[in-house]
Parts: sequence; C-alpha cells; structure tokens
Amino acid sequence: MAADPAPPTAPTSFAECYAELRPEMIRLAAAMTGSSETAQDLVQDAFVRLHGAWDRVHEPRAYLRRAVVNACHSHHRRRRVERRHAALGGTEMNASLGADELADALDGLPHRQRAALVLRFYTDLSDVDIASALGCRPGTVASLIHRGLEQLRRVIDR
Amino acid sequence: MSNLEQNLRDMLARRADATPTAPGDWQDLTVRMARRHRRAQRMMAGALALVLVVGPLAGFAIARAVEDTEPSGRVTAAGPSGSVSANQIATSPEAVKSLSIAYGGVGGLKLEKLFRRTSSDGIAVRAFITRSGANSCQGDGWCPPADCFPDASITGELSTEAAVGFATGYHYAGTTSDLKLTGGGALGANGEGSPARWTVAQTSDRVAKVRVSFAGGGHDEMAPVNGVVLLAALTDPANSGGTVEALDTSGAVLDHADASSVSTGDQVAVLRASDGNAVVSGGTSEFGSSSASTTTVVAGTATTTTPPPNPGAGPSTAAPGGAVPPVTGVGVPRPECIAPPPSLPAPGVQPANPAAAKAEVEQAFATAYAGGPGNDDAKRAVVQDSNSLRATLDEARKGSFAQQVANASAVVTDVVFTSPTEAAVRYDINVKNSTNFTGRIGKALFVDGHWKVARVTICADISLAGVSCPAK
Repeated sequence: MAADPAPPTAPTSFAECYAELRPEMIRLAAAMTGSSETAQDLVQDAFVRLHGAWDRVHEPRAYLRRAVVNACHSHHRRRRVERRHAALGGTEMNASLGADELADALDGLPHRQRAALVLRFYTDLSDVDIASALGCRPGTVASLIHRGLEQLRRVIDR
Repeated sequence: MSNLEQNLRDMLARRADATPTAPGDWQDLTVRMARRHRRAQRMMAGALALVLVVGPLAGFAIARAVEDTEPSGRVTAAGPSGSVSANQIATSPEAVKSLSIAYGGVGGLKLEKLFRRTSSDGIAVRAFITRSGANSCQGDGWCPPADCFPDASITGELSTEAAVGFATGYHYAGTTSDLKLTGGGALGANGEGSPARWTVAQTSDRVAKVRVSFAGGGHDEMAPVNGVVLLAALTDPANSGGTVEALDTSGAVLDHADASSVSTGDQVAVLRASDGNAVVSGGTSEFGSSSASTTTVVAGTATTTTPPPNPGAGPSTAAPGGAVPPVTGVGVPRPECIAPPPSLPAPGVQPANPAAAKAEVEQAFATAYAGGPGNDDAKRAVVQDSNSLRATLDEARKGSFAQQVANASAVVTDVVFTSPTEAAVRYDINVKNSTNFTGRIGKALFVDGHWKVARVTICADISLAGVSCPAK
C-alpha cells in the first residue's frame, strides 16, 4: 500500500517531472477523493499550475502535493454545493453510509482533517511535510489528525 | 497502531491502487496549459482596462472631492449613483477627447489652475491653462502674427449633480479683440438626463464681464480671469445658437459673438509642413463624427478645397502631426496665417540662351507630367536618370492613384537659372477632377545637352501618388 518512495534526485525538466510524479500524485488524489476520474483531472490541473510556476518552484513534489490537496479541497466544496442543490431539487442523494463506511466517513470530514489523515496514513509524511502541504503549523497537524480519527470513530461506532 | 488506523491505511491504499496511472495524456495537458494562458491574458486585459478607465476617473473624482474648498455638499459625486460610470466616458466623445487632452494630449504639460467657480445653475467649473509657448517665427523665416496660433490650451472640468465632463479651448497671444470664442461643447446629454453647454472665450483687458445666453434657455456670466472665461449652463444642446457678450465696467456691450460659432463650426488647423507648405486640416472632429477629414495643402503644394460647414462636428483639438489649431474658429484661416509659398532662389550665372533654356525647361515639365497615354520614350527623355525610374513610373501609373496620374498635367510658372546647368522651377500640377498641387518648387538640370526634370523633383512628386523611388 505505501506511497512511492521519494526519488533520490528531483526531476530536472518539466516533462521528466510529469512522467515521474504523475502516478504518485494521482494515487494521492484518488485517496483523497475516492474517484479515479476526478483524480486524473485534478492532477492534470495541478501540473498545469506547476508548469506556470516552473521557473520559481524548487521542490516540484512538495508544490504538486500542495496543489493536489488544494484541488481536492475545491472539488469537495463543489460537490457539497451540488449535493445541496440536488437536495433542494428533490433528488436527494443517499446520505447514509455505504458499503465502505470508513471511506464515507472520511469523505464527510472537514477538508483539513481529511487531508491530514490521508497524508499521514497513505503517504506517511512527517508533521512538517503535512504542515507544508496544508499551509499550517506543524503543531496543528497532530491536532487535525487526532480530531479526524475521533470523528471517524464516532461515525463508525454510531 | 489501532484498528481504525490500520483500516484507514488499507482503505486509502485500495482507493489509490484502484486508480490507473497509465502514461499521462500530454496532449490534454498542453490543451489545458493553452486554456490557462488565454484565461490569464483575458484577466490581464480586463485588469488593465479597469486600471486605465476606472483609475483616472476615480482619481479625478477623488481629487475633485478632496480639493473642493467650497462647503461640502456643493459638489457631490459625479454620477447619479454617486460614482462615475465607465459608460459616461465611453459614450461621450467630448469626455474621451478631453481625457486625452488632460492625461496626455498636451504631452504631459502642467495644468495651471486658472479659477474655480460654480455657475448659477450649480455647475462646478474648474479651469486650467496649459502653456505651450508662442510659436511665431517658423524655421524658414516666416513669422505669422502672434495670434495666428494658440500659445496655450484651456482645459475645464465640469460637473453637475448628474454628469461630469470636460471643456477645451485655446488661448492666443497677441489677441486684440474684446471677445474671441475658442471652444464650445456640451456634456450630460448622453443619457445622464442633465444636458449642459459650455463656452470658452478669451477677452481683452477692457472686458469686465462676459455673459452667455444659450438658445436652449441657459444663462451664465463671469468676470474674466487672466483674460479667460468658461461659461456653462443647463440647457438643451440641440439648440446650438445663443449669444455671448463682452461688457465693460459700465455694462456696455463691447463685443458679442454667436455662441455656436465654435462648437458647431468648421475649425481649420494650419501647420507648416516640412517642405514649407502650409497644410490645412479641417472640418472634422477627431472622432470622425459625421464628416470625412479633408487635408489639403496650400501655398506650396495642393490648392485648398475648403470643406463645407459641418454642423455636427465639434471643434478640432488636434491637427495631424501635433499641430495647434488656428486662430479662426470658423471657415478658412486668415490670409496672414497661411504660410506664403516658398520663394525661388536668386538667379546665378545664366545659360547661353536663357529664353531657349526656359522654353526647354517648360516643355520638359509638360512632357514629363503629361498623364494619359503617350510616348514613354519621350517622357523618359526629359527626366534625369529615367532608366532607373522606369519601374517606379510604371508603378505610379498602375497604383492606387492611377486615375490622378492619368489626369495630371504640369504648367511651369517661373524659372530661375541658378547656374548654366541648373534651374529652380515653380510649377503647378493640375489633376482633372481632383486636387491640384500649385506653387511647387522643383529643379531642372542640363544633362547630356538637354534640360531635364531632376530626379529629386520627379521622385518628390511621385511620392504624392504613394510610390517611392529606389535608392540611387
């Protein structure tokens, strides 16, 4: 299961970076969103952003990771709005937990808690790297993970 | 590790591993990049437009509000809703024109404040003068009267409760008349629903007050400040008439003028062309409101074809090449403001038979410029270095001005021999059913035993047809 090990050296060209980091980022996005198609789409956009900032990006992997996390956040926000509108329109989606209760519970978490859990339990990142990806202080990461796990427990035990 | 954490790891791994990570779609990525680039460009263009349009307006509005020394509330916001709409600027030629003057049309020269006043109708008026200096004598020694050309421009900022606009006029050094209208126009008539007219005038020292009565019913008056007045009143601009009067201290009318003489007139700009000819550009607003621009050259090149009066056009504020507008507000410029034709040089050593030489020169010009079908060999025989100009002459005959070239003819009016082999020639080029070019100065050379039209002369004239001679 574990995330790909970090390459010994950073990719030197954008094409090289795309070939090397794309699978890793797709898996991260898929873990965050639970959707293959969405992950592919979000990662493509993340690379477009990286391309625009290529001259000033020193760590493409960290940049991409943060771009993917932010893109997943935007995706979840859009999906929430769509669900709300669907509910108002009388086509209420099934809000109950599905077959994979844990996945549904994870998707129901606030963005930062969900991202912290994915980055910790899928990519095995340190608090510092998670903080960098989330744009918060390292001390906040432990709190996010703790509260995220508590929330998952409450939902599953319900 | 708790069960929950392990379950979470397993679930995330399943999610990730279920996602194919086949080689990336590079083409899709390229398309997305191009889309993002276009979006960025659009945003940049939008931001730029915002800065260019809203920035100056906001600055103008803020400056006016801050600078206002009268009790607050007299001058309120510039638009009905408390802000200046871009539409006001975009739909008002006068506003746009004036913006170009205020923010760059005068080359960044300083706006020196003349006065601030509020008309009886509540129109806030700020008047500025931008001095450009008198330009009397020209490079070739021609010194027109000082009042032929303005030495300063007048810029007015006007605002009512509903609209904001600019006024423009001119200041002439050496003006002796008691009243000279130098600008006129309207504002607030483009949907604001609060139309007003304004008039800029220059006065003599004898004038104590200037008053205007617009045909649409508005009135205004003020004492001149440094010989300048800017009068404004709420009135319908559709009624273009009215009367402007200059009064002395006793109230006697010293002079009067038709208030529409500038704003609806056919202003003519005169400038001195580089070749010494006077170029007259007239009859249009620079926004091309209703008439085509007519540029003619007098006293040296083309004869004037004075454009007909154009009631729809505003005053011209900028002539081609940055020339200043003329002294006359209506019609053609005064004769003394038109550059005289360039003079021929003094005679030098004469050829052996001056009369025969003169006749040959006249014949050479007549032959060279004769339009229509003719003997090309004969034409080439009277033009210096004609072999190198063969293609050029053909191009002129077939180019955009082929009709004019075909209908052209030349008449020599004066010949001065400056040496036995060189002559200065004054001649007219007449073009049937088109503009004539009179009083041109050219050169004839005695080459290979014959007098011929100099290459430099034929090339200068051929350039009128939009064709250039090859380098020698």
